Amino acid sequence: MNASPLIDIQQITYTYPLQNKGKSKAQSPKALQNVSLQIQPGEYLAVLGHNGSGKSTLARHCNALLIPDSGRVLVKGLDTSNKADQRAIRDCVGMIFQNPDNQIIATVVEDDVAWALAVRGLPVNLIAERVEQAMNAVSISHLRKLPPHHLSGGQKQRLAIAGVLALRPQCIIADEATSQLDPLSRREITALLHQLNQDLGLTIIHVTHLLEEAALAQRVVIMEQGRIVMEGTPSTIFTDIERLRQLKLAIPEPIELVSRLRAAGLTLSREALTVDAIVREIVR
Amino acid sequence: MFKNISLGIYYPGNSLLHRLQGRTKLLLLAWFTVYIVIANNYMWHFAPYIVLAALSFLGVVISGISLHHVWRRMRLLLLLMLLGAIPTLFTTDGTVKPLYTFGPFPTSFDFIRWSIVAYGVLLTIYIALFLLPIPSLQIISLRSWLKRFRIPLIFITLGVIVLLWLIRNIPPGATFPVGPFVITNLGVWSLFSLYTVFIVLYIFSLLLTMTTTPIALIEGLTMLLTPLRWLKLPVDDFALMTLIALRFIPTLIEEVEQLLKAQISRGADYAHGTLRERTQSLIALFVPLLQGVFRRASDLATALESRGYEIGSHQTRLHEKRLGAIDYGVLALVVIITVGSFFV
Amino acid sequence: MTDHIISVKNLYHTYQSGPLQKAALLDITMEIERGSCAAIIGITGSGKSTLVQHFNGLLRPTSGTVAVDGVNVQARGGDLKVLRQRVGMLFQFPEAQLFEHTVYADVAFGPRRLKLSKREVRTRVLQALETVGLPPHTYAQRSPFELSGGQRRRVALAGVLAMLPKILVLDEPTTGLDADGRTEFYYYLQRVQQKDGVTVILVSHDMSEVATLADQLFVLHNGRLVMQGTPRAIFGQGNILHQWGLTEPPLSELLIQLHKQGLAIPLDVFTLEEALHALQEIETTRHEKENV
Repeated sequence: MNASPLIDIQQITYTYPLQNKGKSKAQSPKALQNVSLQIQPGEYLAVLGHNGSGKSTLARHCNALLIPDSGRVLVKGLDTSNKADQRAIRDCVGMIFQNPDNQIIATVVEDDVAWALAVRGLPVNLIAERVEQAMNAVSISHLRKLPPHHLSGGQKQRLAIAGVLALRPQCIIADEATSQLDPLSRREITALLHQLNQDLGLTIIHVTHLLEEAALAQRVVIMEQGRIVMEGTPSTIFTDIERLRQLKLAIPEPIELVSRLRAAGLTLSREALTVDAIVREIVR
Repeated sequence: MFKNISLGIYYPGNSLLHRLQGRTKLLLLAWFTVYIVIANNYMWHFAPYIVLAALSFLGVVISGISLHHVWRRMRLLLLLMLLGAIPTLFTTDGTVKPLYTFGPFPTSFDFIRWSIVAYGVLLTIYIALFLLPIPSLQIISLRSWLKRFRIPLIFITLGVIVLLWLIRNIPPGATFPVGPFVITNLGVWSLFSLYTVFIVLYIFSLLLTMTTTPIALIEGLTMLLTPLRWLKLPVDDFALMTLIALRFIPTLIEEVEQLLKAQISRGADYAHGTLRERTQSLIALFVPLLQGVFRRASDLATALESRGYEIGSHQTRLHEKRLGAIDYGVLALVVIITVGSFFV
Repeated sequence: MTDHIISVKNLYHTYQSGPLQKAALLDITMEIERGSCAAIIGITGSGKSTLVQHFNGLLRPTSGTVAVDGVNVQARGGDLKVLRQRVGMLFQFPEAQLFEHTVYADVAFGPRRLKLSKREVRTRVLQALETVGLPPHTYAQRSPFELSGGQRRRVALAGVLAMLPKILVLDEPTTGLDADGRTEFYYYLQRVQQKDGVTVILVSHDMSEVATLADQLFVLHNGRLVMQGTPRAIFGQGNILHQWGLTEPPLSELLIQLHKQGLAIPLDVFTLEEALHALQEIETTRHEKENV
């Protein structure tokens, strides 16, 4: 069907190495068990699961931060276990992390956007041009001279996205990037990722434990105990509320309302997943 | 607003000094140090010092930083140096001819005893000022002014008691000589040159840090240290470490504040209690702080890797550009003036 | 007469930083009822953290008065030690403050500072662990660092509860927890409030959290108290919170939008059940009209 996926995860298994001797000698459980997943260029994928389900571990395999124990991950056909290809892979797949602070390296906003480009030894004028575009794309140009500790959590995550965008990647992974933000910033960052997918055709992998953030995705994958247990479009996934609850996911009240109304005999479209869509559906 | 206060002492501006590259300023500072060492060997040759003083004054004026700010950062140093001046002045190695001699002064122990009595009276007045309810002395400003002397007074009083004990057996009529005090050429010259060197170098370093952003300073230093790279020393890694330290100092300060409040809220007390209790409270602060730092370090390592950091790769300098005409101009001018001063 | 455990009158707080001053709180007057759960909401920088830090004397008023369970927090003096026992405070990401080798020792840190007998300390620690759902026989001797994020957070909560506070202040208590961690934390928090009669004060910008837990809301913006009332009353006023950078909980938002679209849904509908009921009623009337 699809000629070549951007990221091709083939039957990977991964176990975290034991960190200290003090822990029990028993082998720590497998973080990933025989996971296969293909991500197409331009796709918006949401990876859902509760804390400890393996979703972050999976995400970290996509830009060679982790190398599978068995199986392999190909990014644009390059094997992540091949050290020589890792920089090319990270140029193509950028990542933003959970803690907004611990990924910002430079002391001023614009320097941080430029940092990854400087590390790669690009010429100064090219850096300046790309930094400008990246800052505009996430609307933080007005903050350029500020030190990071003067930014809000949401602004820090925008900065992190700009730092990745400046590298002109094909894919951005947001690894729980919204979980430490307030609800409004959370929505803004989700909307920004959606917009980058729509406007620039970027592949987005949005790792989250919040169902409402997955509503705009094209495809949803749900993980539990290191395995993919559900996969499909948001509209099919969101109908099985009982199953979602079993997977320790919080059901947003509007979604629950729709489901209960449907159970009570109302006909409501399965596509009604966001507040706006639900309103439209009910008013109709 | 808080947002405008940033760490460090950089003063944003667009003066000539601000526009010079960090490397140029670092080189100038190094050059001045060498220059001073050489000038020190020419006794009574004032021209180099006049040139230095003039250049530092000129630097402050050009930089556009208010004299008030510079003075505020200098006054403590000046005070400390004044205290150090007295022994330096009397430095002699016994061979040089004295410039001026005064003393020896015969001093009697009676004099010391009377001085102590006078001190006792003053101390009593001081304590009385605190305790007696004299209305005109209730003025807060006077009080806080008096309060400042509390700690030194305790030490002086202790010293006086020890002195009294030491001289308790000496008959009142006895005298002893104080001095002679000898001021030599060498002493005066050492004092003068040392003073100038300290003040001038301090002003130059101040100007450097006040007109250069920390990042530019790091980059400049890294570039100047390029020769060390041939010795396989990790100059770039050192630069990255410094950058990250600068970046995280404000974050860590916030974290300490928060932890302090959290532990105080559950019973820690940093101001009272036995030594054991205070140690416990300190552990409650430092252990979590350290854990936090390690967690950050591990997160950062992942982020660095993810953003494509590789050890030993060629990096673009964002702030340090090629040395321009003004850089070469200023360097040349300073070298000519300073070298010329030796021949005046 | 209602019993106010905290009453704040004309409170001003100004931060001094070098030559610059910043007014963080302006003329705040409010009262919190004993045994209730109050939420102080507002965006970052609205002054909510500054306000609650007056409740246990971490900060002192620049002017105005704060009376907490009969103790006055003044600009100078006063016995803050008593106050800090009565008011437990849990900051954001409280699991970061754990430092002892065992859960027991960590929870005992506070009580031990109170110079209680060994036995009393023990009773308090065991009780606190029981209250937060970490049975001592399984958890007391374990290292806090082996536990899950949600459990570690509950250990921190136990550490505060072991001081037997009358008031519990929590700053963004569930940020970063997943659905399970959240539900559990709410459950034990409500138990503390209902069983032990502890007054809970929640600092939050998460309106769903506030909607589930709080009896009374106080909205802060730019250091001023701009609104107060029950969640039902405040969320029922339409998109009023938007002007202060806040959002309603998703359900209220949905209902407000439906209302705007002309649906005859009463604005004070607040719970899922009520919404369901109201919508079904509308649907039936709509059907009836069509049939007529």
